[in-house]
Amino acid sequence: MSAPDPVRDPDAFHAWALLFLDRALSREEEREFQAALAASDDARRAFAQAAQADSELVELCRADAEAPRLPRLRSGRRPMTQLLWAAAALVLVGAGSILLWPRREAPPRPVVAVPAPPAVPDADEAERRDMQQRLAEIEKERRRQTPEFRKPEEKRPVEQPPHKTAEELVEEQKKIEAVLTEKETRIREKAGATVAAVAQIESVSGAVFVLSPDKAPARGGQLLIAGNVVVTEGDGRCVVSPALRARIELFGGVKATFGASPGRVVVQQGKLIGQTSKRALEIETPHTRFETVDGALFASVRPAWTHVEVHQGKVRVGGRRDVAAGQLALEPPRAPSQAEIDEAIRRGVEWLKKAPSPAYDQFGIKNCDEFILFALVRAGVPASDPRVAELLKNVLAAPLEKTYNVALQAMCLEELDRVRYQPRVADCAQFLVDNQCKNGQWTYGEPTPFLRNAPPGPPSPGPGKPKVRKLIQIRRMREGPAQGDNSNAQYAALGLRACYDAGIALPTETLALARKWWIACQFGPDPKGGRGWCYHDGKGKVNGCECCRYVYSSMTAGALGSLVIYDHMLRVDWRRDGSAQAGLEWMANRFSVVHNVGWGKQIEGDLEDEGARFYNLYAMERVGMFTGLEKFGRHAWYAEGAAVILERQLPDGSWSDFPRGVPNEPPAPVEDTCFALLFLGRATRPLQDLATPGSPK
Amino acid sequence: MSFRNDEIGERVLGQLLSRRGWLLAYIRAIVRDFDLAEDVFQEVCLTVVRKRDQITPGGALPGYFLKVARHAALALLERKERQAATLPGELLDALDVAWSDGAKGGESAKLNLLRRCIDRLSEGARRLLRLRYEDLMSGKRLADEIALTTKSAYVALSRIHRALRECVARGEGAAP
Repeated sequence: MSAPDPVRDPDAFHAWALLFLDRALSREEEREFQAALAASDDARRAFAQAAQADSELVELCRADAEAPRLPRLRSGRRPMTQLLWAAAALVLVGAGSILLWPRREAPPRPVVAVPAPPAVPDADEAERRDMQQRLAEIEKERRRQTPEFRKPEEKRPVEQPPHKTAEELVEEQKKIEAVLTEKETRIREKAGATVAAVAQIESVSGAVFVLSPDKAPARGGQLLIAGNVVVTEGDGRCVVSPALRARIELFGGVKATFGASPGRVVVQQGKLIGQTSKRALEIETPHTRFETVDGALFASVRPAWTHVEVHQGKVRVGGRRDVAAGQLALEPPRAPSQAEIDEAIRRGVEWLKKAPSPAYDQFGIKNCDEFILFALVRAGVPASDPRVAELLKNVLAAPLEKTYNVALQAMCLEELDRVRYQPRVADCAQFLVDNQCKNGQWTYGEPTPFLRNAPPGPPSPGPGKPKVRKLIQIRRMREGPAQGDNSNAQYAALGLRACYDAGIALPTETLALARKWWIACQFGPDPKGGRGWCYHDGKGKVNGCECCRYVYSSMTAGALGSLVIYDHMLRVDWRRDGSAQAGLEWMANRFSVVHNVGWGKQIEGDLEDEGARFYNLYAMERVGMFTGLEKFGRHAWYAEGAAVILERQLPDGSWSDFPRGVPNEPPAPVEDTCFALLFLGRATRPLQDLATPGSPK
Repeated sequence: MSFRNDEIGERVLGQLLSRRGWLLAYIRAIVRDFDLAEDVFQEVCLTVVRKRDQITPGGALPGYFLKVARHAALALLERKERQAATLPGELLDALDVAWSDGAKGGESAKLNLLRRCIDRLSEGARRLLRLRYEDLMSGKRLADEIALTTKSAYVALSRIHRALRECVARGEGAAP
């Protein structure tokens, strides 16, 4: 049977076209139909009409489909990997996660909608194009002028007119960009609403909001346009379809931007499950991006890392390596740039300069002047700064009463002018030596009557640390209490190190006893390897609490730093110190810049490890600086810690850890800001002999 | 991504989406499978958004979309080793010309008209449409359902298509 004529029998030809599209013609008829198509324009136009009519009707029926349904996945069955995934998701994120599993199928639907017509080209657009072209030319010219981009053999043709200098090009670029921004804003305003939706919310439960930019409750079926942010709070859950046959389940605490760039979802934080069938699904996090075209994954985006578990198919992580089903990928943070760190420090310093100095009356600590002063000085604030001058005046005028304050005072004075303030540093040393407990620890301390109270000398000339001209010998004049705690003890070690650098000759028995204590009270071995420290030695109450049985990160780092200090002052190589090595092993195995690992157990037994996190970071910084190690195990401590700290800086420039990790403990923004600044600025100087005659300045 | 690229990208994407049915029909003519055609259309969308920086919105875009779609469709068929299913290259070249005539855009308005025109059809015709496009019945099942031969069922469909086309062309479905 030959194909009908499209002109004489259009209905029959149309029917043949539909049969052809549906592959319902016999082989012979197919050949006939193709011959008819090849023979005339009319046949081809009629075929195009038939195909378009069929397509339009399918579109229409799909557009009229009722309530939003989950996208249909290619595989209707549930293979074992999917079931395993569901089980894993259930374990990881709680029973609510089972809701995310697709149970019903629905016809595929268009992912995008076009509610607004395209903008009409106008004069502004023409100008904008010209300006963009000029900007491209400028960029090209600047690259040409930059030595690293210029090929050695490249020669400029002689017929070209003389080019502008790099400075002139930059100036022109700035001017054009300023005008261009205004023009683009005007064009955008003229264009009206955004034209394309990039995703659709399939279902919502609990507190889910869309920021566009105002915060409004999300609803099922809602279309998302480029740049919309979906936020799930508390136990809020949300299923979003960013592409046909692709879906993302967002759990509570997620912040995700859809269409921030085409085809991508940017997830700033939270947990999610992504699933796609023959569709590109690309998820970007602060640490990495991962993509899959036919897979299922669970991802947890935390401030310090992104953790991806592949449950089905294959996921490409970071654009470079494939992770197969059943495997995990843990992506560390991208190291912040130095410019970002400098800016964070600048903002933190500005805030700290105006901050009040808090007291801890329960421990007899009247203020934190020394801590603020040390943080400011190590952040590069000059001694001439009014706030620094005021704090220094207060510090010098105050009596030496408490271990923390005295140790930090010694650190400040050694830093500011160790020769001028050497007499005061010697008094600090006397206080610390006289307050050492019988077991080698320190506690909050009591004033000692054996201070010299000698006046400071004249200011040292010139920049940099002045050379120590004389040593001041300190002898132990009294015995301290029976025992103390490891937190005071670690700050005493820092203070003694400052005294040592300022030319104070400390009693060897004090240093040896302290070192002996740190070695004796180390706990272990840890199930993961290494040995750590806790607040005390795990025997009985200390400072009114029994929180001394569990090893935790901040105390381990603080203890390890102290041990390395004593090794240095006693001329022991810390690399050969078994306790120090075991401590480092613990830190490598239990490394976290987000949690103070073990803290929750030592406080209550069942709390999260969310206490004293900035205190922990500063303790880690000291270990890194003292040992010269850039990594603890596989972890680049500075890059990871700085990323977390930058992430947590508050809009006013300060830091304030919350929750505090101790029930009912109020926030401590001043202390946390000091810790953060000290970490970011790598405030701890490496251990080296500064005070012995002949040593470097 | 810069602001200006965003806007150009949106306009390009807008033009693509306003011709979705037209382009989908073209792809389907090549791959002859509606599900596969949707896959290819998504590929085209991805290609367009990836290359948005290199594309200038304008009159040449529909032709560009056709080229991208054809390339993606053939690539998909090749991956699936189903080249035999498609039309010869010369015929596709000729079809490109025929398809270009229909690249008007503005399909959402047309779909609205179409929706109203369907309401004017007889009950039997609407049932046929429902079976075919909502229940996604194949031609053979459709024919069994309405007790016709397969070809007669397709002829009935083609007549409905013609009636709808004429209704839309006259603008009869327009809201008062």
